[in-house]
Amino acid sequence: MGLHFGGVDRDSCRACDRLVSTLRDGPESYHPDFRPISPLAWIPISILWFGVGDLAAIFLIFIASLLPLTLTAINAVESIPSVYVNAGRNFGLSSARLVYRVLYPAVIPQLIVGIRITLGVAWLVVVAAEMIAVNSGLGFLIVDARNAGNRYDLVVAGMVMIGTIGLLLDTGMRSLERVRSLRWGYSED
Amino acid sequence: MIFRRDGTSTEVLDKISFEAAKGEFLCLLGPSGCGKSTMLNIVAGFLEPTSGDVRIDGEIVVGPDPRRIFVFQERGVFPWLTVEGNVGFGLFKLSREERERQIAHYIKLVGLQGFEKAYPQELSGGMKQRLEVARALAVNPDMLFLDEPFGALDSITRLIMRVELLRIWEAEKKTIIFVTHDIEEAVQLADRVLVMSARPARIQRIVDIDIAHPRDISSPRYLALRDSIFEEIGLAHKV
Repeated sequence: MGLHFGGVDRDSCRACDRLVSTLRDGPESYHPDFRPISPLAWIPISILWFGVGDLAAIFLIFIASLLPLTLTAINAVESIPSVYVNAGRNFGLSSARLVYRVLYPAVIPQLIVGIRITLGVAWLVVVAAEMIAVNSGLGFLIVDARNAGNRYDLVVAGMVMIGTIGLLLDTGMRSLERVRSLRWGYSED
Repeated sequence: MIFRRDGTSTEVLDKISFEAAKGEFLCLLGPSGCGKSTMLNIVAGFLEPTSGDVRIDGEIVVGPDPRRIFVFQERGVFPWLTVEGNVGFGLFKLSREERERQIAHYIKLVGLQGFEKAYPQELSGGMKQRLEVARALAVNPDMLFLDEPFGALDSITRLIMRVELLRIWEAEKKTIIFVTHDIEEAVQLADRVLVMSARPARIQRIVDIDIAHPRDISSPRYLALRDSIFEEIGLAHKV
């Protein structure tokens, strides 16, 4: 409509709005929510499909992480203040640019929180999966040590290792929250 | 402009018509909730009017455009970018050197030197607002739309910001449409004040502020104009 001074006409604005609302409403509307099913309940099926081995454990981690992360991402996009999106549109950003210069940076702090929580859950699932579906790892060590003659020293050693690794993973994620360009997402101001 | 929601419709703006000249500083003044911001959002292209249209340089406005930048009521600076990053936000079409030159120029213009690498969180409210003005000016727009930009600032900072805005306006010669509910602010800043009525808003009166800048805010002419607007809105200026 003659207003193409590198500009945004109303059509591409509508495209942006559609993009935001698709990111917002889309995923939820076409896949069911499996979260109420404990990821651990998937253990028999994962062994059935993937056998005893790493693949089964990976599948369980995938199940445990996918939905919480997807929902975090949906919520994060939903809660982007419209003032940021409008400012982006005002400066003539294309849809792709709007995603990576406005939507993406705006959701990172929330995504990191989501990843942190999910990582904690995934670590629990790894250990549990190792107890049942895998023949190696700390979870396996704990079960195996008990079965092989009540070696509770090894059981406790395994527990301490699990706790330490979990703590390190969480500390690693938390340190991201101190990155200067992300700190705005975590403070009160 | 009529908003429809849940089967009820609210008529916000009714038969509004005004013109702004190039380089003019225009204030839209009205009681809160009267539709001033709606008006400005329509002019800026964020909202489509139910009927009628907005023409700028003869072209009908069909959407937001980088030639006309909106400075938001809420703080619209991007918290994930530094001062430099924010000022350079709209300059993605320029070469690196050109962009850096522009960024430096506008940071200087709004007096944020020394804070180039700071994040908005580390700035005061007034500095954030100046940053947003710099970000808007950096793309060299023809027009600026300011929606109660100083509303969240304390009264001392607000006064300083008005002086700053006038200085920048005189330096850059942009057409400014400024929405406010503060009568003093309107009379201090504007060439013309459009006084709007309560909803559905109409333009009740247009007041020419025929005082040269810098304005003496205790001069009889200033007080007379201010009081006439007080009366127009139906307020007695007694507390």
